[in-house]
Amino acid sequence: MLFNSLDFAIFLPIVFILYWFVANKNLKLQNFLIVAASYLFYGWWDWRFLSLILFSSMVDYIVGIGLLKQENPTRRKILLWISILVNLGFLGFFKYYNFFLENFEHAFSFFGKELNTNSLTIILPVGISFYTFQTLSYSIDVYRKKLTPTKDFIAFSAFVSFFPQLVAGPIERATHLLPQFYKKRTFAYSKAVDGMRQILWGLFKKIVIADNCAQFANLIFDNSELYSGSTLMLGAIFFAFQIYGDFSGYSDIAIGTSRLFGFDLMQNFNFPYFSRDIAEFWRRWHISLSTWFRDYLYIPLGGSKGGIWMKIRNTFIIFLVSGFWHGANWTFIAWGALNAIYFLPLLITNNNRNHLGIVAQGKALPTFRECLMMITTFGMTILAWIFFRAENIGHAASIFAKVFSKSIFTIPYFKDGTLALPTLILVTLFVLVEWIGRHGHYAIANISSNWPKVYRYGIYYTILILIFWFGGKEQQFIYFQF
Amino acid sequence: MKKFILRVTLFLSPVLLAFTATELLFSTDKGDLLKIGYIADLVDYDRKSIFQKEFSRKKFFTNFSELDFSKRQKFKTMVIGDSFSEQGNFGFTNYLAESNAGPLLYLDRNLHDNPLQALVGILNGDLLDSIHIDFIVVQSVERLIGARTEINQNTTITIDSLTKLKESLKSFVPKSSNTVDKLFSDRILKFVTLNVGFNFDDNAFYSETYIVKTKDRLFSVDRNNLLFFFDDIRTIEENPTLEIAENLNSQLNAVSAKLLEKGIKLIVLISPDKFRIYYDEIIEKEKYPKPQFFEIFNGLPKNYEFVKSDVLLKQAIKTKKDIYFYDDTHWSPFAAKLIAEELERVIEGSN
Repeated sequence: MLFNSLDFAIFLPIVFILYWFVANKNLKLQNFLIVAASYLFYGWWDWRFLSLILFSSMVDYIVGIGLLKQENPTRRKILLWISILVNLGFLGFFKYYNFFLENFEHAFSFFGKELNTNSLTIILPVGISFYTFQTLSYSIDVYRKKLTPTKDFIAFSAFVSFFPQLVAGPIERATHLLPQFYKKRTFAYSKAVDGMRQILWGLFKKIVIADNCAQFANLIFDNSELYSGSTLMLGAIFFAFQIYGDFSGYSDIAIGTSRLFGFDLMQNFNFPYFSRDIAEFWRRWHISLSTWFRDYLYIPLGGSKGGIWMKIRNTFIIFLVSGFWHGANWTFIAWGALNAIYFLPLLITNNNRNHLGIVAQGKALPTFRECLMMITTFGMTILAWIFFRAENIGHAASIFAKVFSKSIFTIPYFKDGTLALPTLILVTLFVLVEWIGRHGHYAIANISSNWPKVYRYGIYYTILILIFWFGGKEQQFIYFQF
Repeated sequence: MKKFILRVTLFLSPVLLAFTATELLFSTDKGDLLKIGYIADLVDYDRKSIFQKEFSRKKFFTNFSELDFSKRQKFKTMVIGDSFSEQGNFGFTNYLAESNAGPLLYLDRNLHDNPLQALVGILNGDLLDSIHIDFIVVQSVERLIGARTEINQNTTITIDSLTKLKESLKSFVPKSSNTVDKLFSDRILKFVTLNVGFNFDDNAFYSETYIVKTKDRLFSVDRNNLLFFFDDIRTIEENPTLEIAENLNSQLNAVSAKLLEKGIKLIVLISPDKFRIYYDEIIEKEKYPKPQFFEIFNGLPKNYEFVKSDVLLKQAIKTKKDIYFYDDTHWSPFAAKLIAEELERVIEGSN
C-alpha cells in the first residue's frame, strides 16, 4: 500500500493503537506486532513475495547464528558468501535476468550469431533492492564482528521487514536499527509529534511537489522530439524536483512513521540541492545508499588509500554499481558514469571534502560565490538526471543533442505551458522553505517549534490544504521500481 | 499518549468529516455534471426507473469493430459521432437502426476523437469502397464544433488503420476516476468548498458545473434546478460564432459533394448544448450569454441534409420533462427517440 493512500491511513492508526495499547505489555509482543504489520503491509502489494522476504530473513538469521558459532576463517567466509549469493542472487534474478539476456543476445548478433533464448516475464518484487542490502549489512557486520548476531528471530524479522522503510529505504544498518528492537519502546510525546510533522512534510513533498512536477516532466520527456533544448531543460528541472520530492518525501514519511513507534531511522536526504559541489551532493543525496556502498564496497576495494589509479578505479566502480543498482538499463549506468566523471576531479585534487557544513550556516542568504556554486552543481545534476529519466541511451542522446544546440537559448514552450505556472510557483516557495529550514533534519522541523500555537497550526493546516488541493495526480513513488 | 491521540484526532477531524461527507454524498456513477462539479447527490433522480423501458432495449446496430470484412457488407446508414451517438441501446443510433433507416453501421467512438475529421479521413480512405452505404450521419455536440472544424483534409482512414487501432485498444484500460485515491485527492476539499459555494454563486465560483433556477420543474426531481456544463457558455463567449459556422458549413458542403459522387448522402446532426435548449427557462438568463450558433448556422446555404435539432428539442421541453438528463450534459432517451424519428423522416424524404 502506498503511504499516500486511504489504505495506509486506515492501517497506520490501527497498528499504532494495537502497538501502544495492546502490544505494549512486553517487548516480544511489540516486535511480533511489527512483524505482523510489516508482512501485511508488504503482502498488500503482492502476497506471493512474502515467501521471498521470509526466506531471505531466515537465511541471514541462520548465517548470523552460524557466524557466532564459527571461528574458522574459511568457514566464516563461506557463511558470508552464502548470504551474499542468496541475497544478490534473488536481486540479480528478479532485476537483471532479462537485461543480461538481451545484452548477451545483442553481443552475439553483433558477431553474426543469433541466439535463441527465452526472456521471462518477471515481476520485480517491491523493495527488493532495499531489503536485500539491509540484510546484507547485517551479515557483513556480523562477519566483521562489528555486531553480535541475534538469536531472536522475531526481532531480526522485524528489523528486515520494518514496514516504514521496507519498500524504499532508508537502508538501515543493522548496527543502528537492530538494537532498537532489543529494548521495549516507550511512548515519547515530543518524538511522536515530530514524527507527525515529518509525515506531513513528506506528504507535501510527494503529493504537491513531486506529483505535480511529474505531470510536466512526463509530458516533456515522453514527447521530447517535439521540444526545444530549453524546454527539455525545463523538463529536466521538473524531473529533478519530481525525484527529490518523491524520494525524500517517502523517506520523510518513513522516518516520521518510525518515530510514532519509538524508532529512529537515519536521515536519508540533507537538502542535496543546496550542495556547493558534487562531492557534497553525494554526501546529501540518498545517504543510506551512498554510505552503504562506501562501507561495503568502496573501502573493501581499497577506498582512497591506494594510488591515483586505484582511486579512479574504485570511484568508477562505486558510481557504476550505484547506477546499476537503480535499474537494469544502460541509462542508469551512464548516469552513474557521468557522476563519477563529475566527482573524480575533486577526488584527485583532494577537494572532495571542502564543504562539510551547512551552506551559509547561521545566515539568511548565501554569498554570491556560494550561489554560483549551488547553481552550477544543480545544473550538473540536472544534466545527469536526463540519463536517469530517459528511456534508453538513444533517447538521452537525442535530448542532449538539443540541449547543447542553439535551441537552448529559446524561451521554453509546450502546449498548455501556462498550466505549469502554479507548479513553478509552488516549487519556488518550496525551495524557499527548504532553504529557511536547512539547519534541521527536515525543512519544517524547527520552523514552527517556537512559534505561537495559532501560527503553528496555521502552517500545518496550510500544508494540509495544499496536500488535498493538489492531490489526485496518481503518480507512483519512483523508487518503488527499484 | 492520550493527549497525543486527542490532539491528532482534533487536528484531523475536519479531514475526517469532509472525507465522510464525500464518501456518503459524492457519486461517481451518476451523471457527469455531478461528478465534474463535485456536487452532493442530494436529489433523488432515479434515471433507472424514469427510463426503465429505454434502458432495457435490445441492440439493432452494428459496430465497426464487429464487422467481418471477408464479405461485402451493405448498410443503409452509417453514424459517426461523439458521446451523444454513443449512448448504446438507448441512443438515437439504436432507435434509428430499428427504423426504416437500418441496417445501420456505427463507427465506434474510441476509434476517433473528432467525428468531422473521421468523416474526412474515411472519405479519403477505402472503407466506402468496401461497404455499401446510402446515408452518413455525422454528429457533433455544439460546444465542441469550434475545435472540431480544424480539420486536416489529407488524413486518410482505411479499414486497415481502423482494424489496427481496434486491436491496440483491446489491451487499453482507460483511467477512471475510481482509481484516484479516495483520501489523497482533491476530491474531498473540492467537494466541501464547492457545495458550500453553491449557496452563494451559480458555479460556486470555480466549479465546472452551473446550477441555476428555472421557471418550471423541467426534470423528474423536486426542485426547479437546471445543471449545465461551464463549457456551454465558455464557448459562446470565446468562439467567434459566425466564423465557425461559416467554416463548418463550407467544409460540410465540400464533403457532401464528394460523398454524392460516391452515391452517398450526408446528414448533419449537431447536438445542442443543454444550456441552449433550456436557456429561455432560466430565471436569471440575462446573466448568461445568449446562444447564437444555431441561429446563424440554420440560415446558411447547404447541399446536405441538416436536422434542426435545436428547434425540435426546444419544442419538446415545453411538453415533456427529462429531455436531457437532470444530472448530465447529455440528452436522454426521450430526446434520442425524437432525434431518430426526425432522422428517419429526413432519410425517407431523400429516398
